[in-house]
This record gives sequence, structure tokens and C-alpha cells, in this order.
Amino acid sequence: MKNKSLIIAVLALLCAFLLPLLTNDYIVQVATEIAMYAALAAGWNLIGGITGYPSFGNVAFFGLGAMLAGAFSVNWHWPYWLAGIVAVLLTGVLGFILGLPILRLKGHYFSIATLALAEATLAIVTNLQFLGGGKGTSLPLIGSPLLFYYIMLAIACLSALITYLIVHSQYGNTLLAIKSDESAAQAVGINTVLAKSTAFALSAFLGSMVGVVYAIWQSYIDPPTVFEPGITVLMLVMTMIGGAGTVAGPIIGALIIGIMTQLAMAVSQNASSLILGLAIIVVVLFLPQGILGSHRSGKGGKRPGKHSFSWRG
Amino acid sequence: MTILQVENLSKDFGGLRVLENITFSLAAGSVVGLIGPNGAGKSTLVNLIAGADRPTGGEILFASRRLAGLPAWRVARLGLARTFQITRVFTDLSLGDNIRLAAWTRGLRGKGLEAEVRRLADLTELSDKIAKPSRDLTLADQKRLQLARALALKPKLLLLDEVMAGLNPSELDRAIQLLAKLRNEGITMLVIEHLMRVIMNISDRVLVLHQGSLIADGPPAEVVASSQVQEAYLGRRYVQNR
Amino acid sequence: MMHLWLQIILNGLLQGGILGISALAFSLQWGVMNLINLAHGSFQILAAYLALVLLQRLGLDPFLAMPLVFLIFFAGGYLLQFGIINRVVSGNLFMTLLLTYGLDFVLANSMILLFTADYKSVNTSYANSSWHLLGLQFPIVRTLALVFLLILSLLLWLFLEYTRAGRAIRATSMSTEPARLMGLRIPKVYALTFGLSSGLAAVGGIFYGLSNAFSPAAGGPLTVGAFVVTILGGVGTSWGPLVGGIILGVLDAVGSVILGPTYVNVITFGLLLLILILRPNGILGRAAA
Repeated sequence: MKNKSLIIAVLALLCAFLLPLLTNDYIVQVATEIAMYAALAAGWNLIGGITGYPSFGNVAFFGLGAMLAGAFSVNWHWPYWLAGIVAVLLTGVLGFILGLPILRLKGHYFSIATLALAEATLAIVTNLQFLGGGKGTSLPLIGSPLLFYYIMLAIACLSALITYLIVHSQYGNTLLAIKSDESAAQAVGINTVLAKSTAFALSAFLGSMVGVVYAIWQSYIDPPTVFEPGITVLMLVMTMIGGAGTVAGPIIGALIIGIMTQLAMAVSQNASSLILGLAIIVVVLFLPQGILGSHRSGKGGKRPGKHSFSWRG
Repeated sequence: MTILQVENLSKDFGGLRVLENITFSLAAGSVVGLIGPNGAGKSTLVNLIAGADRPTGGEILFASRRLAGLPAWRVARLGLARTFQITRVFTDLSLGDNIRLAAWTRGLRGKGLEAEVRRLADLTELSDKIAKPSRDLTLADQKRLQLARALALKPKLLLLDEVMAGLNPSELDRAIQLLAKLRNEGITMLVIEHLMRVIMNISDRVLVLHQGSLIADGPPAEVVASSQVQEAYLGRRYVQNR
Repeated sequence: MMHLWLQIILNGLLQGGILGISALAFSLQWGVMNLINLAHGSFQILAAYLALVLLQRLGLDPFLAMPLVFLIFFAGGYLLQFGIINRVVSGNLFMTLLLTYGLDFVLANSMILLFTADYKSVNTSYANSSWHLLGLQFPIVRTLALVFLLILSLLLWLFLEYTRAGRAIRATSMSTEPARLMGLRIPKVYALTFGLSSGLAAVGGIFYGLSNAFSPAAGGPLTVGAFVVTILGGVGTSWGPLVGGIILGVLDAVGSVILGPTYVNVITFGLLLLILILRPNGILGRAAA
């Protein structure tokens, strides 16, 4: 089983590595996006899939990574790699600090708080001249499409590796225990606040890293684009479709959504989003455990029959 | 030597007093039963001691250390372990990983960790199911797993909230034997139980909680004989179970 | 100066009407079924388009069309819940989020195909006019929205409190298991709830269309707004949306004057975040699961 997974992983990586040799620029661009979303979804999976906290605000980290790196390099003339590293570290620390209060919330309340976090971050960034404000940031055109494909691929691999290491460690078991039952986790001596905030910080770290690369890849970024709430939802959808809590789930989900989008566009340019929406509904109704369908998909926020809210007049 | 000292402990839930000035202490190595009708506040008391909930007033001293205000995980690491009335195993983990995680937070690593997991699985008669996903376990096995997981913390004090409820007679006998074994290891236990047979069998002392107040505290036979207790709770049930 | 401020606060108050009707529907779904409907805003926009079509093709005034639109959305919502959403609603939180997100995608993009992505508005003779009272301006549509919100909240409360169907909904909202034992058919109760809230959402959507320019993309912000209002007022109450709507409406109106319109979202979401963090169990102190 373990060997089989390893062989599949190596083969997949080989295919991904050789892909640009066999196809055209358009496919490479699509593949870059798929790798990007695989990494974003893997970051989401750490907090949403493994720890069981369905974040609706992870795009904030992506957006902060992009806008901060852009601001440092444009305003302070830092080399982009340095701007990027500082942006990623800052976002990670911010994720940890914000996680402390926000992760006290459960279920829907956590989802809403993260949504509010992302929207508030967007609103603040939009109002700050330093960060590009309303008009966005232009970055110098550097690198080639091929280079960015390999960078995104490397980040996707790094995300998968981090997930693998976590899932196969006691830290990963700690997070899974928190997902199963948080008070029981505390009762066996787990500092749940620290564990959760660390997972949130790692999630922020990965999201930010993708944002940093996205910014220089696109060479022009503005807040509404990089803080688009739909990006968070895509992370969630991909993870769920692939299999939440698993290492390969986010990658498989990103591949499926990416390919489905292309197919839908081939069928009808105009109706592609419509087809994608229908596909999501079909997946929910007929593949509720995700493609990998393991027991790890977890139970999310509620138990059947027991409501966290009720109508009270 | 006193291991747990509870002083004037009170708890309100939205204006409703659930526990009223509870005071008692546990001697190290003793097994004390905690009984009372449904809604008497037994589980609330356990939650307060374990740090899962904050008291409205009063003090809890564990090995002379103040517990009130400490988060549950700190309390657990001090050596105060508990089980839950409604079983709460980590359903996303295997049986073995449930135990391993608790032993790991206590600081065990490598071979010592594995040996401890095996020892506890043996002790709770779960060795053959160690790789099983814990969500697939029967209720009786989940109860044992909860106990094994609590023991993995190497507790000085164990709070057992109805670990026997729902077990069949043979499972019950084995569970009683297990508690006797733990007692011989010197673990202090506070045992919430509805089954009087169990309480009479294993306790050195019995506390009776009724409507949030402690109405009796003494050796099992004496407590059972007390008319106040019989009136409040025991009479009917005790006679039934005898 | 004083007068200007009164007008600003009044504008916010009246804006609360439109926000509140939207949240009334959202809160009903959330409170009763523990369902967060991400397609909520698109339902409303769809209703606005329907009102527009009825006005343009049949010359039917939006207020006269309201009962018809309500019934259409009630039926559509009932069938949607009964046929599709019920299949996942009792299970995993993610799944309902995902399903309603897919639904939102389908609705929003269908609307783009049907009506294009351009901004439209429901233009009636009174859409932009106001009543004048005590030297203050009362925009007709928004004033009526607040009046409607008051009436709808009252009707909803009476319905849930005093009718058999309403009691069934309330019993189900507390816990499904006892409700089942009482002989209630949960799928039907849920379908009724979703039908009712879809109808309410449609009414809110018509008001939105009468007072704002809208496009298929406007659904997302409407959903977010309903989220915020529901939290501010408290989940699962008949009067919460009114309270939450007015709080948010006034805060936004006053905030955008003091800090400038670009800071409105900073206020809205900053406030929401602050409340959530300071009151982790919800505004009214009820524990989340």
C-alpha cells in the first residue's frame, strides 16, 4: 500500500515534470494554475480538512502574500526574493496570532469569522496606499511561463510533503484528535490552542507563498483579484472533492476541477461556470466522501440530529 | 495524605445553581464513589475538577496545587485524567493511535511509547483491536479505550464518569476486576456510577450528591443506611439492584 | 448640521429594512436546519430579475407581483429542499456548504446567460422618489422595506408560535430526534422551512432590485450581508434580523460619512470579527456545538 502510493507519487511527479516537453504553452499555463490551486488547497486542508476548522478566509493569506511582497519590492526596492520571504514569514506569524482568538470559535461561527477576516483584510489593504491601495501594484516582468510552472509545481510538492509529514506524525494525530473531539483532546493533555494556531499559521504560510509567486507571475495585482472570496471556496471545493484530510486529496481535487473547467469551456465557453456548478452538485450528491473516500473525511461541524442552534422565538 | 481537596465549590448556569458549596477531599490511593440521581450535578462536578468548565466559586486543590482557572490540558498533564459519560474517542484515529497520542503528550517517545501502548491495550483487553479505526469499535470497547487513554496519562487521580453504563454482566465483572487492579497500582479514583453493585463493591467511601448539594459522605454501608440518602435517591434503586 | 446627521441615521435605519428581510430568510434556514445557504444572495437577485421581467413584459408592478413571486419561490424552494438539499442537510456541515455553493454557481451563471452580466434596475415611477416628513427624506422603497420587515417579522413570529406547521418547525429546530418521535416528517418540515425562507428571500430581492442597480454578481455580497446581520441580531430569532439590520445599516451609514465610503467594509467586518471574538458563543450567549 505504502509502496504503491510512493510509485504513483513518483510517476505523477515525473509526468508533471515532463509535461512542458510534450504540450503547448496553453496547457502549461493551465497546469501552472492547477499546481497553484493544488498548493492552496493543500494549505486549506491543514486547517479545514485535518483540523476540522472550515476556513472561509484563507484567501486573505494568499492576498497578503501577494500584496505585501509587491509593496516591499516596489516601495522599498527590495529584491523580490527577499520581499517574498519577509511577506511569507509575516503572514505566517499573523496567521498564528489571528488564530489564537478566531480558533476559539466553532463550526459556523469560525467560518463566518474567517470570512469576515478576509473581507476586513481586503478592506484595509484597499485603503492603504503603501499596499497598492485601490489601484493595484505593477511588478517588473521577469522569468518565463516555464519557470513559473516549475516554481508552482515545486510549491505544490512542498505542500504535499508538509501534509505528508504532518499526517504521519503525532502532531497530525493531535490535529485529527481535535477534529474528532476537542474537549477530549484537552482531557489527554493536548494544548489545543497552540496546536490549532500552529496549523492555521502553516496554512497561512503556504497560502502566502503561493500569493508571492502569483504576484510576480502575473506582474500586475490588485486587491479585489487576490482577495476574491471565490478562491477560498475553490480551495474548499477541491479539498472536499479530492478527499479532506488526505495528502493527495487537494492535488486530485485541483486536477479534477482544473480539467473539468477546461472541458466545460470546450463544450461551451459561456456555460463553463454553469457546468462546473452542476458538477459540484453532482459530486456532493453522489460522491459525498470525496474521490479518496477514506474515513478521514471526518464529520465536519455537526452531528446528525443535534443542532447547535434552534429557533427560539 | 490528601490528593484532592474541594472547598466550597459552586457552579451556576445562567442563574441556575447546579452545585452548591461542595466540600470534600480524597485521600491518596482511595476509591470513592460519587452517586446521586440524574441531574444532581455529578458530571458538572467532574467537569469542574478536570478544568473543562470554570467554577462560579470555591477552590480545587490537586496535590496542593490550585486548579481553578487552569485549562483542561494543564490539569491533565498534572496527572488528573478523566473519562466522559458519553464516550468520546478520537474517531479519526485508530484504537492504538488514541492511546499513543495520550502517552505521547505525557512525554513518552520511541520504544517506551510503544511498550506503554501495548501494556495499556493488554490491560484493557484491547490488544487484538489495536489497528482498528476507533469509530468501528463497540460501545464496550470504546469505554475501555477511554479508560486506556486516560491511563496513558499515568494519572495520580482518575475521574471515571459512568464507565460501566451499558455493559453486559460479564463485561461488568471484567470492568470491576480492572478497577480493582488499578486500585492496587495506587491510583486514586473518583467513580460516578449508577449501579449500586459496582459502588458497593469497589468504593472505600461514598459521596452522595442531591440537587447540587453533598448530602452524605462516608463508608458505603453507612451511607446506604442513612435515611436521608434513601429518601433522596437510593431506596428504590438500591432495592432493585440488590 | 444636526439635521444632516438625522438624515444620515435615518438612511441607515431604512437600509436596515432591506438588510433585515434578507437576513430573515437566511436566519430561518440557519436556525431551523443548521444550514448556511451560500446561494441565498443569488435567490434574491433571481427574484429581482423575475420582478423586472414581470414589469417589462406584463407591466405588473413589483408590489403587485410580490405575492406571485413569493409563491413561485416558495414552490421552488420547497422542491429544491425536498429533492436535493434534504439528501445532505442532516450530515456534514461541509457538504451543505459545498452543495449550496454549487447551487449558487449554477444560479449566478444561469442569470448571466439569461440576462447578461450588465447592471439592471427595476425602474418604477416611485423607485427613486421620497416622502418628506419633518424636513427629512423618506425614500419610498426603503421605507416600505422597513415596514414590510416589521410586518414579516411579526407574521413569522405568529406563524412559528401559533400554528401547527410553525410549531413543527420550532420543534424540529431544537433537535430532530424528539421531533421524529413526535411523528413529524422532518424532510417535509425542512422543505416547508426552505420554501418559506425562499419566499422571504424573494421579497427581499424585489426590494433590493427596486432600490439598487444589480447584476448576477451581486448575490455574493448579499449573502455576506445576510451573514453579518444574522450574527449581529442572533441566529434563529424572529426579531434578530430587524435588530441586526438596523445596527448594520446605521453603522454603515454613519461610518461611511465619518471615515469615508471605502471604510464601510472595514467597519462591517471589523465589528463582526470583534463581536465574534469577544462573544465566542454568539451575541446572545448561546453555545455553539
